Amino acid sequence: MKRLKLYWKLSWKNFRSYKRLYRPLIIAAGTLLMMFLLLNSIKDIFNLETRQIGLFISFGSIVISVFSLLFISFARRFILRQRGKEMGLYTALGLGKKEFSVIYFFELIYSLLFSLALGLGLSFILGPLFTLAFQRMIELPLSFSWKLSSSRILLGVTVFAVIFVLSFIPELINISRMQAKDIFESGKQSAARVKANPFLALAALLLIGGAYYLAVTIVDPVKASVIFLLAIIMVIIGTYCFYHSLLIVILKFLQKRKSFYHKPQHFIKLSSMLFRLKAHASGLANITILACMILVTLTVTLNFFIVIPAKSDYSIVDNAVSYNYYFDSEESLDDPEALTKLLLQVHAEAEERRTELVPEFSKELKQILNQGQKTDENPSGLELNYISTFRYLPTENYREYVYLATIDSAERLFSKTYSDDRAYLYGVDEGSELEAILEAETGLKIELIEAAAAPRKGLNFNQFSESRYLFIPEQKLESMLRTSVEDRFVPYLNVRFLLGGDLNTQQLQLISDEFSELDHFQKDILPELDGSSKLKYSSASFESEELDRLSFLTTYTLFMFIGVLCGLTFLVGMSVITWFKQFSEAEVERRRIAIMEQIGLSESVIKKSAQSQIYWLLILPLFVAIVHCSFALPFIRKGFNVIGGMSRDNIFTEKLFLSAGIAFASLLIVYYIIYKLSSNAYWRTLKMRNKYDLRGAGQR
Amino acid sequence: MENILEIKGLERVYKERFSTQVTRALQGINLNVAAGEFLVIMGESGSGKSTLLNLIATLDRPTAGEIKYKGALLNRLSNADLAEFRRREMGFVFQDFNLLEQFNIADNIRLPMVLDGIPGDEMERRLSHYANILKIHKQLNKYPYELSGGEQQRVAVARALVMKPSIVLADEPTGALDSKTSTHLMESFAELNAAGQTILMVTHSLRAACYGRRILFLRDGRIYYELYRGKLAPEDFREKISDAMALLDAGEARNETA
Repeated sequence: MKRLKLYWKLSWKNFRSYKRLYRPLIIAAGTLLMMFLLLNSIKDIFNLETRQIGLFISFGSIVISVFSLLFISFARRFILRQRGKEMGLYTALGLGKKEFSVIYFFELIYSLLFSLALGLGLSFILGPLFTLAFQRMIELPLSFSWKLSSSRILLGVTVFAVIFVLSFIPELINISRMQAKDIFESGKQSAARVKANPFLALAALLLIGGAYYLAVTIVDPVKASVIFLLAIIMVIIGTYCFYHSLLIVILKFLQKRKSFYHKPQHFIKLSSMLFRLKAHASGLANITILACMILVTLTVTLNFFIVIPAKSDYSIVDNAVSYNYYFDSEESLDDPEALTKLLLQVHAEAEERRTELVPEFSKELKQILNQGQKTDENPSGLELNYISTFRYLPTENYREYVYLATIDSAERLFSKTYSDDRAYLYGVDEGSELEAILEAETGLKIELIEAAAAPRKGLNFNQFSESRYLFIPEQKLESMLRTSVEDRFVPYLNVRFLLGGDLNTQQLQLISDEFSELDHFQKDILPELDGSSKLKYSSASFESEELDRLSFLTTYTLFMFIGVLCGLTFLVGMSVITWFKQFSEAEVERRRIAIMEQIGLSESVIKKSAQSQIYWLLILPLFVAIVHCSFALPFIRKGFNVIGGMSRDNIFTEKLFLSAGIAFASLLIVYYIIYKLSSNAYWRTLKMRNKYDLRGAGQR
Repeated sequence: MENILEIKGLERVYKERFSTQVTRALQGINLNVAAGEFLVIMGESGSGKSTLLNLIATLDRPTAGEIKYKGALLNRLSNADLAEFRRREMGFVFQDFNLLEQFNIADNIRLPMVLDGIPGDEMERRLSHYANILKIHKQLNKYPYELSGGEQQRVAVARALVMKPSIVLADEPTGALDSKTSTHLMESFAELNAAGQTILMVTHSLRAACYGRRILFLRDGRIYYELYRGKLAPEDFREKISDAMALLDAGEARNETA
């Protein structure tokens, strides 16, 4: 017991002596815990329990936990390595490895306690700000207050306690394996010739080059997501090969060019970079990968952030009742003509019986809805701005949907008379290539309907992009559908009614809830229209702009916050690795600088040389990350294309380069701050007194 | 022979911060070093010999006194000028070799020449010349960790000589070497000195000191005794040095008992 007390006191003394090493660890761990708690507090604050949100939060929590374990393990491994001489001394004085392990474990407890205190403190300070930011983003009319339940706190404390203990296990193994004489040497950098493996260097070129090639040549957005994963793996492996071999090859090549190498500004820098690469290749690769993850996360997150307010410019689907149905896809291949006929038959019947398609709501709901003018066509008060459309792909090379409808629909929608001898295109700008393509396809002259000609309500199928409509004569509809080849004919029919009146969120939610139980089209009308059962009823939905907007804002804001928290996690990791690498470099550099001073370098030359080495060591990973991410942008763009419904006027993609630019600039600024802070610490360590210090006379 | 180094009234006092305690590392040192001389400074630990070397090497500044190098006062030079001065006029050899691990042997030797902007051809000529003299021409492509202690020390000597310094300063150059290697190193020093190189060496090794031409004994920061080799061979000079050291110890013991 007495011994334990002694070890406890010793560990506290050590902990205070090594606060230079423990401080960055505690700050990093505390920040990571704060992010973990903020993420999990979302469930408490907003009482959001949808499955999707739950999945997002769990995913984010796992990411933060896993990376916290990696970063904390890295930091602790580094701290142990610096204590080699101390451990050797303890061994010489009779304290065994077991006792040292106990002391080190007590230090772990101290660092854990301080980290927990910092993390909890930061959560409670920044939590209200977090809540405010979230609320502002989604513009909910209700107010929320910061809340963190004891169960969430317990979860966070438990996770991080486990992380700390897990990080201790490999250290315990290392300590047990160390020989006494090795212990003294454990802090030193081992000397060895820097060698480049030509195969790895070639692998780096092929893997990274291959990934870049895939990025710029992939066209299909759906395939892009799979190829993206492959490209990520190629880039990760290629980056490690780059730092371990290709960069060494490049530097050695420069070294061989005597006219370049034997210049004072290059001589020390090149050799030192080569020497440092040997020790830091993996660390630099890790920093590069982390920087890439930050940039991609930040770009995607920022893109949502920029789009969310701009979304108000786009009117998504207005309040509408919408029925979608598809053909059974296998059967549709057998007899396109028969299926075309069936689809047209349904279309015709639905047109004629459209008043029957309006759902029969409950008496109470009808009273709420009866705000519009009742007519024979509109017994429930629903505005019957009816339109039915077929989805159509123009050509193999222009793979964006166009919705086919009849000219009758256009006349109803736009309250205008149109000619039967041409086709009318709505939703594209003048000069669009689609005009020429459709003219060739239809054999009709195409006339554009201006966007301002009609309200866009109810016409956009996708909330992020504009839908394009081609209104053609009824007699042309059948021939167009029939002559389409398999991959251009998408057997889909949508029937839609617009809901008039000014309904609030509560009313819309009531309609949505009641509508989900109706489905009378499937039960009552469909069997009459289609006796062959080839027609598959896909869905009936109540589409509400307001409800969709709230759902979108909540989901994507949450997604955005998770992205920000994950990005910050990677940033903490990057800072930890950079900081400790600088620190270890400073310790070794002190001796080298003393030697160089004696050889005859002035302090300013040494400082300039060391600064440019730090600079390149920090800037190089960032530069490589920016190049990687620049090539990742095409993939990200294609991902957003899918979200945006494969429309070329996709609001996500048009802002993408702006988002990427802001992400790159932000990381540069943050990285510069890390560089400055770690450089200052680097120089403070260097300036610590040693035998050959040039301090002023009279003082030690 | 002209004096390369003239030292008058040199003092170095250390004062602990936030303390009144004062340590006089050097007191009233007066010393001249002639060109072509092989001067050895000996003394026990704490006698001030390394402090004296650091002051001569301009790695530290004196509290009082002056150091003239070829007639010019060193105290008045800026740090940048001192760095250049060290590079051009002085060569350093240390106990633990102090080679830079990131450079191979050839680059370690080239370093001061590159910094001084010496043309490539001249640089290679000097490298080759000193590598041959010191018998390290086969190790030029290796790295310091691949060499033995003696070989590393010879590399350090080559690095010290390539700038053709007026004076070579050696701080315990044989401290990390075995006896045989130490002897080889000192024989190299003797050859260099015979060729005209001025050498100032600090050591507590009898074996190394006996190669010097003049020995200064320091005690408590002052020059206590001086010894000249004259025409004696190193082995014979060794006995005289030993006697002088015994005298030094006896004087100390007498002071302690007094």
